[in-house]
Amino acid sequence: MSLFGGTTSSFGNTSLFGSSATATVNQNPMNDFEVGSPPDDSVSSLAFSPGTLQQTYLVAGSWDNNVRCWEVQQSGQTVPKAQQTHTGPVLDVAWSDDGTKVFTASCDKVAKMWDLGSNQSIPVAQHDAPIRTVHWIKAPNYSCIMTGSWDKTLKFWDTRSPNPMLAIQLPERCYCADVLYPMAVVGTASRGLIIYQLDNQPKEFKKIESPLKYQHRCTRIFTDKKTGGPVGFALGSIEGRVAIHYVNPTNPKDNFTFKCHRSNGPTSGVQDIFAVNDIAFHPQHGTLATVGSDGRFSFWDKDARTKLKTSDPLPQPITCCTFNSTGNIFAYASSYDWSKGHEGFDPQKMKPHIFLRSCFEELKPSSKKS
Amino acid sequence: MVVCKYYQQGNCRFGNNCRFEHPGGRTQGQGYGGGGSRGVTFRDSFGPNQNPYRWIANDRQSAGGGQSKPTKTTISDMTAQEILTLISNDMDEWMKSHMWPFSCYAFLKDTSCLPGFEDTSFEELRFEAYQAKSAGTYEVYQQKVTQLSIESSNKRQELQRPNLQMKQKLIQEIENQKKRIGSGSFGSHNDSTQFTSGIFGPSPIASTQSVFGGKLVSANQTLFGKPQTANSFGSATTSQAPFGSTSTPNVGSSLFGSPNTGSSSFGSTGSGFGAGTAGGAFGSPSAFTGKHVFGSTLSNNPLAQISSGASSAASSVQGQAQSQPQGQAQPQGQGQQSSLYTPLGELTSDERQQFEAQKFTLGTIPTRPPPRELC
Repeated sequence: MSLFGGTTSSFGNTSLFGSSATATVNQNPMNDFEVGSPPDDSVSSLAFSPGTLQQTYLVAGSWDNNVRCWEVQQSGQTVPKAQQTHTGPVLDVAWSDDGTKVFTASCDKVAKMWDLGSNQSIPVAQHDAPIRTVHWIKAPNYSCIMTGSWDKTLKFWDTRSPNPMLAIQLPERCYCADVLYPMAVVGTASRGLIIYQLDNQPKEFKKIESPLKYQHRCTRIFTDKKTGGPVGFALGSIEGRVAIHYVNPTNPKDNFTFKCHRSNGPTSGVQDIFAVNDIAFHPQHGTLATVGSDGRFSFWDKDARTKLKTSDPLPQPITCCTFNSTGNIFAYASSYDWSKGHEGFDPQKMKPHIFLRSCFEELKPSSKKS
Repeated sequence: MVVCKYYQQGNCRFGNNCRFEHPGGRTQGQGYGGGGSRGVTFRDSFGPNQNPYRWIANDRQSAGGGQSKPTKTTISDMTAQEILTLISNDMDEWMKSHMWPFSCYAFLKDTSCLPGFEDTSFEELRFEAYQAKSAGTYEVYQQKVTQLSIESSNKRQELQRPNLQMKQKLIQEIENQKKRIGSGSFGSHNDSTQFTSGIFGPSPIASTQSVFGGKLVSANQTLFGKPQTANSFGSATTSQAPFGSTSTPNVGSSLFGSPNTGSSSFGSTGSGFGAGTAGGAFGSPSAFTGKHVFGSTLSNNPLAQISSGASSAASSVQGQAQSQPQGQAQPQGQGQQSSLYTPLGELTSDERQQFEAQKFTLGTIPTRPPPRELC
């Protein structure tokens, strides 16, 4: 029952809930591996170490102001390794390409660089408002981090200098972003959507009309199957809908949207519509996973326009998800996302959980043609 | 399993013996996505869980669960009345489906957001709460959220069942958007509004500044506007509208009127009324060329640089278009005049000339409605 193996996993369940008499709600309906010592408050972001490292590490940023790092072993066991703290909730985490540093962005308006070797964390970026996204950019002629903030700016920082290399004004607060060299996409409030090109130096490439009608929530770049280069992005909104958008579509119909994370309501009545909290693309297959406020994750094949799988609902929303570098593991966090406001939050009952799923087979593209 | 194509068409001679899959009668003869190239059925390839979500290419609307309605997709295809119906259905769905209430809204993709709906993300609201908790002002926070919920709900109801006045404003807004889109400003109109706020410079968000800024509005349900500079949710940047929809610092969400009367902010929008048409300012749409993601550089992208003159002209036209409903609402605040007409005293001489003439001259058609006197 190796987590990393290619065979389908059996029940490698290390759930804490075992056979507790008081645990009436199954926190792990999908029977996935559970990460031990999870954060104390909602998980805002998850990131696996890059393939350049021998071992696999998972980093999680949380609303409890901490960033935690676990080593994930072949067997599915997780070993807590280290932890760093901000003075505000952590909203995003990112690895450097060589796997030696982790960047963390926080509501305390600072982004930090965490050197895992020395376990030291230093501030490397500063904004006037909470920093919502942080990404590492590795270009042939430069390296930097990109931070997007609610102060409506996108800034690029050489980590050795306290001043940004470049600051770009955004039309609105940054809500989501993704980077896959040489492309970056930023989704802002008021349905703003901008693409940047990063070769030579970051500059705005194009502003795009949003294909969605409601608030942008998450975005992720996908690559061309043949060339491996970025060609478009997926964009999720609060309206249970994801848009697949090619930057240069060969056919305008290549761009489309699909509904997801909606309750199977009666066809005549109105379904419950849940926000799409995160999207992740499988590094090998090119298929995608979405997670939502309904507590489910779904796998999709965007080329065949097919849904591959939807999970059973977890008792809490799923706030974020990610794949490891080889695509063997799908990690997702079950924790409250604030989708029902403060009234929906019961910190005693809603403890965060992070699950790891052996997913390589499940995410294989559909063999059907559309 | 591969789905049997004959079964999908409605006649498979093998019936139950067919070696291909006959999904549960769903696809037979319904034209379910098979009706045209427009629809793409999104099949669930997990056998027992046949629950197809329809992936519609360029799906731009969800008019009340319209799976089988023909989906018109562009603003130029639809009449204002159809769009009003669409908006009404969207509001209905929004309210019933328990979606996040603090979100912007556009009635069709590729259109600008409707003014009056401000974006507040889950994280912003949550951070607000955490800050309030540690500052000991949690009850205040709770009240604000309740207030905002009520307002948001009221707005949606107003759009769901618009009274005559709201219909007029909506139609005006729709017309404005059509014009902007029609003038070939692909992507620009949305950008220029957002750029306007950029031109005002980033407003550093003070650490204590709450998402909800401004003062709470009393439960006056009929008008959306706030008497304060904070826009309806007092979103974090109170000095400018998220849309940059009015170039005045006073941001009543213009669609829903602003009771802020007093000096005519309408006259001071700084919009160039002489240039009545929206066309020239936006430049040509960006062209997709080349095979690579970024193709060749865009030939004419006036919004590539913040400081370009084009964008300020664009923003001024934008300001004009958006401030118009505000101007309509404003006289209403004074109580006497109907909100549909522009006060006579406020017309520029060009406009007055146009209205008084027998016919409009192309290129200088006023975008504001005529005053009652000249109708």
